[in-house]
Amino acid sequence: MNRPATSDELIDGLRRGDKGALDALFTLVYERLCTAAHRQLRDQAGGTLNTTALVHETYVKLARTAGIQAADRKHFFRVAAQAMRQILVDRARANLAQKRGGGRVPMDVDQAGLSIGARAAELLALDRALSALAILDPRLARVVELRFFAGLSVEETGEALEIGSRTVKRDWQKARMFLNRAISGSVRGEDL
Amino acid sequence: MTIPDWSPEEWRRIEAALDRILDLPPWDRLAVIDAEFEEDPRLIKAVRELLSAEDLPGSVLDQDIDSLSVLLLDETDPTSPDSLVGGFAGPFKIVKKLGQGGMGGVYLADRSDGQFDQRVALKVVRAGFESASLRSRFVAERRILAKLDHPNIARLIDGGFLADGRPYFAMEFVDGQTLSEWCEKNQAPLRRRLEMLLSVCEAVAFAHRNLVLHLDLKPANIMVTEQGVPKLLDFGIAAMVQPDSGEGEDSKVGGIPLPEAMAQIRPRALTPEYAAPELVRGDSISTVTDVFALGMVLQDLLADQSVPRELGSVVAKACHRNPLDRYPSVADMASDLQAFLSGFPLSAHPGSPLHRGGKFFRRHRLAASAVAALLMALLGGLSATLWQARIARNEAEKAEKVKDFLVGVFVDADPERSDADVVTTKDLLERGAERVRVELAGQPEIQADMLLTIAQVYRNLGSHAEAIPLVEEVVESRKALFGPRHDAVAEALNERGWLEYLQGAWGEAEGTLREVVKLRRKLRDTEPQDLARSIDNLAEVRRVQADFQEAEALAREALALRRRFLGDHVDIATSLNNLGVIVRQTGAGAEAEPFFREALEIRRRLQGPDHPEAWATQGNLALWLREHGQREEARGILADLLQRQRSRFGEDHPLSLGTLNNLASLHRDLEDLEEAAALFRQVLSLWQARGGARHPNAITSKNNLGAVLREMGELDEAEAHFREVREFFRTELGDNHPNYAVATHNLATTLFRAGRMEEAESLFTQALGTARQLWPEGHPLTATFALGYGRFLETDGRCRDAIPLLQEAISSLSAAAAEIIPGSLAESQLALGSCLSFLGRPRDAEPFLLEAYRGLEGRGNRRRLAAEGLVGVYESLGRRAEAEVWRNRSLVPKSPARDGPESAHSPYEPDSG
Repeated sequence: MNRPATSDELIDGLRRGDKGALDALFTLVYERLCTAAHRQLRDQAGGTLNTTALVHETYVKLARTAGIQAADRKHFFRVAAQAMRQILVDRARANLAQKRGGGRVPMDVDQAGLSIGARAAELLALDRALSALAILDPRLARVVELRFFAGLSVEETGEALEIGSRTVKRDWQKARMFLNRAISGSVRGEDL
Repeated sequence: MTIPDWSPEEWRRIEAALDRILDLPPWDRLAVIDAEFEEDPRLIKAVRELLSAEDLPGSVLDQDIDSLSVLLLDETDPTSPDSLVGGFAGPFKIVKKLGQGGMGGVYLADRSDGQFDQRVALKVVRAGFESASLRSRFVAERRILAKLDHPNIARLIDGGFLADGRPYFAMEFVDGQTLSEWCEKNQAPLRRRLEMLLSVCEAVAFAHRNLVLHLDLKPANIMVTEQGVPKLLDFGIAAMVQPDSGEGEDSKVGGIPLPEAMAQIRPRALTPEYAAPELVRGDSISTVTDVFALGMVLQDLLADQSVPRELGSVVAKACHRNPLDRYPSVADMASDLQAFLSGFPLSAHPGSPLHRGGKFFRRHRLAASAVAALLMALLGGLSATLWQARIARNEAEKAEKVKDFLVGVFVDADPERSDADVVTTKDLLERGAERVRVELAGQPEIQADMLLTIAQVYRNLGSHAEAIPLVEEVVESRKALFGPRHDAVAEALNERGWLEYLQGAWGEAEGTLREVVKLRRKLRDTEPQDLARSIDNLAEVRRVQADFQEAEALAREALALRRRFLGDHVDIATSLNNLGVIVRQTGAGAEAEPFFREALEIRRRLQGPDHPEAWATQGNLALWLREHGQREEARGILADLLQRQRSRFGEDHPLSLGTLNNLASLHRDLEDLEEAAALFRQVLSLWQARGGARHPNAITSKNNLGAVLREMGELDEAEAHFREVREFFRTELGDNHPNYAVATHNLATTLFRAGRMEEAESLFTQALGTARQLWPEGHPLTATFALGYGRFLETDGRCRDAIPLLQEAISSLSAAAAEIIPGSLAESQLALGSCLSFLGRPRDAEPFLLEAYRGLEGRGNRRRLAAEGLVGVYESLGRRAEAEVWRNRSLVPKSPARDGPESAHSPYEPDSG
């Protein structure tokens, strides 16, 4: 592709189930979300962010400029959730790389009690575990992306995946178990 | 991090097994798995692992994605110029930035005053973030480092303030590699690795001897210099154990109650892979918390080696989940490592419990940091006591004595000086009380102050039974000293009354607190705010005794006193909250909202949004929202609250339990009955484990569980629960009490649903009769009881008797600002409409059924009944077309049954006095 596809073309491609269109939409959404996130952080006092609002706003804007139909909503949210995941994972990776390059220093602790390094490492661990889960059970992994990374509600997640709320809740429960089990790494079955 | 190596086929079977058991209550799950998959141990193991991973404390999945995003996206670009680089911090010239954390930056700097030639790592608080709490943490780290002069600990060199006022400190700059990198790069043999770790152990033991816990030991915090010397870094979240002596302004911790002090000291950031379970959960921490991390580090160092079995057991013992089963000290672990290197047998053999104490011992077992918190609470509490008691004479001398005394207790508790490595709170307090009696025998005034303080610490720990005899002692001794009519006596009695209340001895608490209030009203030396506190305590006791009228009057008086004498003060929020709690129960629910909102506003402003008292108010606001139909907002608030409370205090803390209970109730409102039942069961079993089967909160949970089970149609179990609850209230409160009436009504509706009509009817009439005696006309609970009995009569075909009751219910419920039980009004209208229709009065029935249909939106089955009723009405009126419309509306698919009224008491968290 010599010129970037317009959203219209992308959406058309999506309707035809075009894999390339999906990738391109992903890139588009990734960029928009990234820009919007940084703008929110810059503009708002105290550097706050509302991921859910971010995803919804981006949808509304794309819908307005590219004429996404109601039927495309679910595509959009799936893609947006993946993009949010990718954005955070990329940042976490860059963060850790920078630590390594910049020499080892004692990490610090912020007000909320989060050490960036520790959180970045955790997020990467989650990402790896999530990829492993996607191989065993793609739908569970999708549910985590939508619920956790895009901050969607149970109902919205169900809508995006075309499953009921009850199933979403159950999937989330099972995915949590799998992911926590993978992240914690320690076997604690004997406690029960 | 270990990704399970299950094949897709295995995962499918695991998933199927999970689906099979996840609907069961937690305690049944394992039994079912073990029974049904007996021949497949691999599957059982996998499922067990998964179940135990469902709630991983501190899991990244429980993080808030927004703050995670802020953290990752907002980090300043490392390539952008930093204003500090090139500038000076005291004598240090800042060369470059080494790293950036959320709290601030770390810089490489050179000392350039000509006297020294020195490179340092400089820590600076981030601009714009220098809040008081951050500053005090910063100062705390500096103070900790200043004490730790050890060859294997990176040393504090200097500290001061930047030109813009931000604090900084300079540490020894270790230009080397982390321990794991160093081992890898040097292909270090096993012996060398163990020697390195032994040096680290020495450093940690040294810190422990100096009353410091590191709490964030991990390979990244252990650097090896070019000379091959390991150095321990980053005491940023370390906990200090000694009572604060200097640093006047920063020692605010002293004034806050114990749980808060513990939370302050509790590490703020963890590296989950190395953090001991108790640390992640926020439980008591001690020297063995660091032992755990050292075990994890050992495991890391052994990762690429073939490991002898003995070393494996050292890791296992160091990292035992139960702190009691670990090495009791770093020195013990080190001596096993040493023994291994010398070829001697080790002491580590898995599964040998060191010592197991009683429940109290385990729950409150703590050393180090918790002891520090305790001492701070003691000191803080004490100065307040002195002030309140107004014994101005020799104040300074007294304070000095007290401090010496406490430090004396603490030194006794030093692991180096006592036989046990682990000091328990109970040990400390018992030892404290003993010393107070012996050593302060000549100074009875101070002695009494001290004993009262120790009693208050016991109270904060929830050990009410231990506190009461001490308070008795203080009452007697102060009476002897000052005579019975003195505020010091009133103060001790106030403490006793509150303890009695906390123990559930409401009658005694009422008697004691009345005496206190009476006394304090007359005494000249009583401060108005102390009088207000006692009045407020009495109000709370009257509230639980269901005398809302007196409770409200008292609470208003306390509020007025506080507004008048305190200025802008959190005690005003306490009063407002308590008043809201009371007013909500008088039946004038709508008036409670402004009280909660103002209380929350004051708390957030003065205490911060994460203060336990701000939580209590937030929880009350959520309950209010729930009662007024704003359930989704309420659920969001409660879920947030629960997460905060659990991560801070653990799941069986009364605060967490109160919130869990309320969340369960909300799930019931939202018609997620299974979830509600599961949550109520959790609440019940946690309360029973904590307070015994007859603890009032265990009883409340039982009542709530019964109500959900009844809705689910589990009538036998529901009946058993309600009978127990009713019996409890009868023996504790007598048979003319609102709680007893509610329990009676609940039992009646259960029997009614089971078709046991005669038994049900006598209970219905009993409950209604009691309600009419207790409350003025129009009380929402009376209306609820009337509705229950009315529906019973309707079902029994006695519509003529039912009609007046249902009319009464409708008129009371329409007048009330909000329903105690959602949907009651619509249910009353449905029942009345059905009765009228049955009696051949379709024209009278029509409006009620239409209202009912409207009001029952979202309640499929009940709504269908209204539609069916309207079909009948229009058919008998000959209005065919409308009948047809309503027939279609009545043909919606069936949803799981949900039945009518119930009454649940969700306990509000009262503020403690």
